[in-house]
Amino acid sequence: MERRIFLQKSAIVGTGLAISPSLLSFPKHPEHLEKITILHTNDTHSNIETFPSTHAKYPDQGGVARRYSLLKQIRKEEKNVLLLDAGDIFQGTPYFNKFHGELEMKLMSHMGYDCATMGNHDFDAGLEGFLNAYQYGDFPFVCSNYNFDNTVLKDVIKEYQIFKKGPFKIGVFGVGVQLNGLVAKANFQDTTVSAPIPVANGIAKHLRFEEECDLVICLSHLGYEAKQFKDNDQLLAAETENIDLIIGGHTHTFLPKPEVHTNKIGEKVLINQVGWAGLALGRIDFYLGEKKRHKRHELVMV
Amino acid sequence: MKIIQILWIIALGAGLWACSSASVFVQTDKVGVNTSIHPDDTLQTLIAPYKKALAADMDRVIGFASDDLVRARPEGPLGNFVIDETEDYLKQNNVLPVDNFITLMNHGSLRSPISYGDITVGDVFKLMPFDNTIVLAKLPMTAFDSIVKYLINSGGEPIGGFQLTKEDVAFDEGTTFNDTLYVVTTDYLANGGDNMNFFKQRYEVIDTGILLRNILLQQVEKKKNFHPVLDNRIML
Repeated sequence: MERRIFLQKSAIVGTGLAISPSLLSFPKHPEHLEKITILHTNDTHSNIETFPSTHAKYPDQGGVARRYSLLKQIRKEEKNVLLLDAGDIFQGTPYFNKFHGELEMKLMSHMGYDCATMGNHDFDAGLEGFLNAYQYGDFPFVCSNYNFDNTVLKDVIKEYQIFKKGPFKIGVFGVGVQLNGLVAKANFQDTTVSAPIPVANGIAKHLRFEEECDLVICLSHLGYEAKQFKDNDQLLAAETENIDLIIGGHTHTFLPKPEVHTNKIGEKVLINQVGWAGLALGRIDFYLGEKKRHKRHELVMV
Repeated sequence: MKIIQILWIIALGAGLWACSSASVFVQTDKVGVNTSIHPDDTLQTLIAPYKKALAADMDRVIGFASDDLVRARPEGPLGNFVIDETEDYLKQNNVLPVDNFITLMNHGSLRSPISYGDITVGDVFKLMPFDNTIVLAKLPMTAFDSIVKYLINSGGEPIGGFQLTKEDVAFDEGTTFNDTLYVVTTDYLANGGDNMNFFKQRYEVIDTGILLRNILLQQVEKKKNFHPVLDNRIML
């Protein structure tokens, strides 16, 4: 178990003033602070069952029923929990081949997923196939740089979603990978894809300043590093502002812990990704003081 | 005086910081999911009928083989079956951005024959248990010589789109390339699997994301009847 503490504070105070390190320490009684727990997965790829003990790389790991036990335990302990997924829910086991995503959607709904974004493999059943599976899904999908207006997913997929958990207002949006060359045209039809970074900047600014969100989270299926295309989470972090946390997917990257990157205006932003197949659950707890809304803030690692 | 001013600013700063209480602390954790956690019963119950249906599905008959499709070198009916059905699927479904390509797979990845009689879903899973996806690799034309050398050294691999004999090598009629050689293969081989090092010369690899096994399942279900094909595409 890795635990790290960061401090986020209003830039207005930090500017030009040396604050003694003692002021930046984690309070002795954090239970007095309001807290929200963000849990996340990515690239679960239809992995329903725990890998067999004979599995070459990940014996006895993963499995949704075990993940759900873990989730129930955390929900018992924490008041405010948000459960998110960064895409590629479909494809990878015969469960998808036979049931076309129905079981994945049912299980995620049962487990209480709050929001997800679409990965390239979530187009593998085609748009109609996705819609068909999604009748068993009761949580929103956010894709901010895909336009589905000329498809059957018009008004089904959202641009962003705002959650209110206890005193927190959290804005969640999603960016996806270029589909041309990665997904068969027949499977995405007339979906159009915009460059993710300008879209992310626009929406994050809206969520921070218009919607006055305490936290802005981007579900990204661009990948941790460039794979087929140049856009990736590190570039996204470097060239945007107003995002607190990027939950990544696509490259199946096992980050040992969330990374702190510097955004376009020198603030810090977190990137995390937890491999694939539901082998691990990412967890990030935010403790908010009397944070003033629509203020820019800076992440300071303690 | 100046010192007092500075102290005052520092004090004010600290005061502001304390008043604003604008701190957001972040703790992070990664929780492994493994057999040390007891699986949830309600979810197990929800999964059970699907699991059962899936097991039954492995025995579902989706086609028929008029004779054994076995693996052989330099050329075998099993390799030809995998190559030809992959090519047919890619063409019928317009998966690739190009029409002209050769196909290359490996003998070693075909794990089990298709035996005479009914073909079940399980048979196709046994033939192709790996989650290999089909990719299109763009290579310089010079890589073709390396491919030919590899085939001669190994004694033959499943191929399509060209013919290789002791004396000659020729692309199939209608297949032409200019500066770039387009090779359909699996993600495993394109990444250098089975020492196919010529793939390292690649300009680009486009991964279709489509599992080879799924292609075979769909083709068997669609075409139903299969006969062993040997057409002397490799004679060494």
